[in-house]
Amino acid sequence: MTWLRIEITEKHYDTKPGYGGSGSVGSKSPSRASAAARSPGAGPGQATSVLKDISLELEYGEFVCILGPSGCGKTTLLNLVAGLDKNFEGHISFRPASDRSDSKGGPRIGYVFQNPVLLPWRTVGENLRLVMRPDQIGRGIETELLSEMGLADCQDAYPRDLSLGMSRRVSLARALIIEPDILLMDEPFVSLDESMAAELRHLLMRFWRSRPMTVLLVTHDSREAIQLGQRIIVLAGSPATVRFDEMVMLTNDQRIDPLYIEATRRQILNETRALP
Amino acid sequence: MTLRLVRSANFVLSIGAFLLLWQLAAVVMDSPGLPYPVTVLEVFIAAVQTWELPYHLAVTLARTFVAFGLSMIIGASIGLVMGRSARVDRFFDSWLILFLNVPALVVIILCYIWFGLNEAAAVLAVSLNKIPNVAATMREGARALDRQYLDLARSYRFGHWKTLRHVVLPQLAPFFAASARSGLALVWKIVLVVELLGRSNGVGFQLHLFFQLFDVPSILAYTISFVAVIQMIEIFLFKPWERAANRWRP
Repeated sequence: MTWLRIEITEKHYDTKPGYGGSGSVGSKSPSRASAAARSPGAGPGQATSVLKDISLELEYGEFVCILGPSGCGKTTLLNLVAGLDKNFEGHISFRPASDRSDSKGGPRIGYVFQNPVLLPWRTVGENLRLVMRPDQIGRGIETELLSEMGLADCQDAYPRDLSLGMSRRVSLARALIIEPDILLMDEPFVSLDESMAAELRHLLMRFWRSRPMTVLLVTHDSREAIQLGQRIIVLAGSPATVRFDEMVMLTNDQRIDPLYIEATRRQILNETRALP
Repeated sequence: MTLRLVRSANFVLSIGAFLLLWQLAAVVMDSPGLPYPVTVLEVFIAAVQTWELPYHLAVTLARTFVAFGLSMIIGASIGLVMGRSARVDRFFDSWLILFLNVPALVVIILCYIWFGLNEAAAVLAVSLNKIPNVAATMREGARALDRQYLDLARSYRFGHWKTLRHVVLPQLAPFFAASARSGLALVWKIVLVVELLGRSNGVGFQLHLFFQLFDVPSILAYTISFVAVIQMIEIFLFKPWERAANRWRP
């Protein structure tokens, strides 16, 4: 049964990504006219939109990787799902999870941004406690999770003292500690060295297997998408549309085998090229 | 430790040099217009013993604090709204410029005329003088808020209060400190004028009295003790707060 339905007829380029209508203050937000002026010669409603005719259905607990070239609108899509940007044509609806009593409407969303975005004026522990629900506070859950992620000594440290890899782990911990229904991840392993990235991927898979949650992971790295995703969606073009949407039929052993990864990559590449 | 010692030695030396200069000038001028430091000290001790100076000092301090607190809260709120909403900012920008440029004396006179010679009018007059300054400073801070932290607060559903406390205010702390610093200095000076014009107690009222009597030693004794109190507030209240607020910085 469909849990998350994403229907985007059109998403214009008229607001900064991540800036919902009410938030666009202080700086002048470019009007639609100026967005059109940016690309002269393009037909109306063509180059002014980032996303067009995107229709996706996700089931609860799916691990979906969204693959696409940099700057094609993947982050915009995540911001729409997160509800940070409400300025688009279409609708995004979650089927309410019936098994949860504390839900005040809407799913619990854990968002791992492209930058770690830890509040620099709060310690690591405080950063986690800030997102926790009142009934989670005072039970030492954050200490447990941090030590599980190899960050046991960091609880009282300020984010300035963490390496990028550690900051990303804290950012992931913050998203996981709320026991999210959906985990949104925006290039979470970018600019990490390969061993650190592999370690974090492993950690993510462990958490996803131990507790059901839907994962929507955005990446431009097809190998990463194949390693992690049950299902891969390729976004491309301007405006971006869905070019490929299929399940990855690989076993866990095959996913770490370079031969299988290469074969799947070639398959995805062929199918997305064949399309206009 | 040695650094601290050097610093305090430096402080004592600089104060000593100032007193010496004062003494020399007083000797050279030899006029009741410039008393010796010792004379001022004697007047000060006498005024403390009669409880006159502590009483008027306390009254002025109380007015300063109420007016300061009011203008910080109201000014910060106005600045925050103006910094976050382009429409409000455009509309009220000319108002802000107007109020920034109305002379303090005009505000004080009008407050006394409109609301009578009472405590509320006095405090209001002082606050009205300071609010535009605080608002202008805080508006700059609100404009500079980092969007990614606001996105974080929204996606994790912090709510208004939590966002304000943990996301917005920490970013505004430097602007808060700047306007508090300049605020206290400005507010207490305006309080003196307000007291001079329409109150029957406080340091300003006393100074007015001493002016009519040409009592320079008393004027200096009151001034120096009030400056000292304001310095204490700076050292024991503002500095520790600033240190605590900046703990996270590298």
